[in-house]
Amino acid sequence: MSEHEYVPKSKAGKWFNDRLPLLSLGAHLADYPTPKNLNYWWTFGGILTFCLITQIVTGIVLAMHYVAHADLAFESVEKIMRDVNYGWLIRYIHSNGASMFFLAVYIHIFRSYFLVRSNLREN
Amino acid sequence: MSKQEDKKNRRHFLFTASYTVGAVGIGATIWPLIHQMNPDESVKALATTEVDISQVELGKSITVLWRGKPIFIKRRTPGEIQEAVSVALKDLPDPQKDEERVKEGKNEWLVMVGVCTHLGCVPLKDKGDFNGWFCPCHGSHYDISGRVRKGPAPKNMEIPKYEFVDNNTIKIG
Repeated sequence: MSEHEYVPKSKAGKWFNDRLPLLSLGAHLADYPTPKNLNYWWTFGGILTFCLITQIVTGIVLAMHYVAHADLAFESVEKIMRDVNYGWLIRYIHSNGASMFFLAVYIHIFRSYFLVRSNLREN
Repeated sequence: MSKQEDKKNRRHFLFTASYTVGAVGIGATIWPLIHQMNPDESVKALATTEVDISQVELGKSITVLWRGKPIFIKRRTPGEIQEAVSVALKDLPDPQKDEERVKEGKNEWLVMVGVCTHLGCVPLKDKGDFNGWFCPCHGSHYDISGRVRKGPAPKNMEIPKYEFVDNNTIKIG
């Protein structure tokens, strides 16, 4: 395992890694020991993290343009879709991202029901 | 070239290629998130605005919107003009004569973009140590010509392109 340990090559790399060991962490995770039977169904935890970050980022951006008022909300959404630069893209990512979030959540839940349960029984 | 070296070169090429594609991908993701803050087409389409200034009394000012930005239009009294002209240039962080900030023969009218040059807040009128504008965010003081006198702002408030259509109307933009 230690053969994959991250050793900074330059002085600047060492300076950075001493303060924020991001690359050390990356190297550590790259050969982090995991059970043999993990398969692609286990990627949905990471996919959910990605979904969450996407929703937060696009949600903050949309909140900058949205007007939460009964008389103005509809117009502000029309403005997002028609006028704001790439507003349509950001809103579609946010709405489709919400659906993808649910999909990933269900797969994640059923993965733990079916796959982890059966593992426990075998051991 | 030996086989070993060949393999190394190929690996190097693949690394460079994937870093390049990755950088393009990150750029394409970040750009819409930045560009959404830029003025959109509907704002840019309103490139010029005509303003009726006949109702502005001496010593008063109005604020109009141009391209989504506030424009201060101030009708200065003779005393205020005198004050603006008499300031020594060496007292100014961003030296600029008052004549350069108004139209010739129309120097009672000051038309400027009402956005603080520090971090973009809207300064308050008739406030501050210099009888002009004061930015409440970080305490920049502007004089009666809209020139910065004190505080963190690096520049004088911007003068937009404008012209007098007739005595009562100006066209900004």
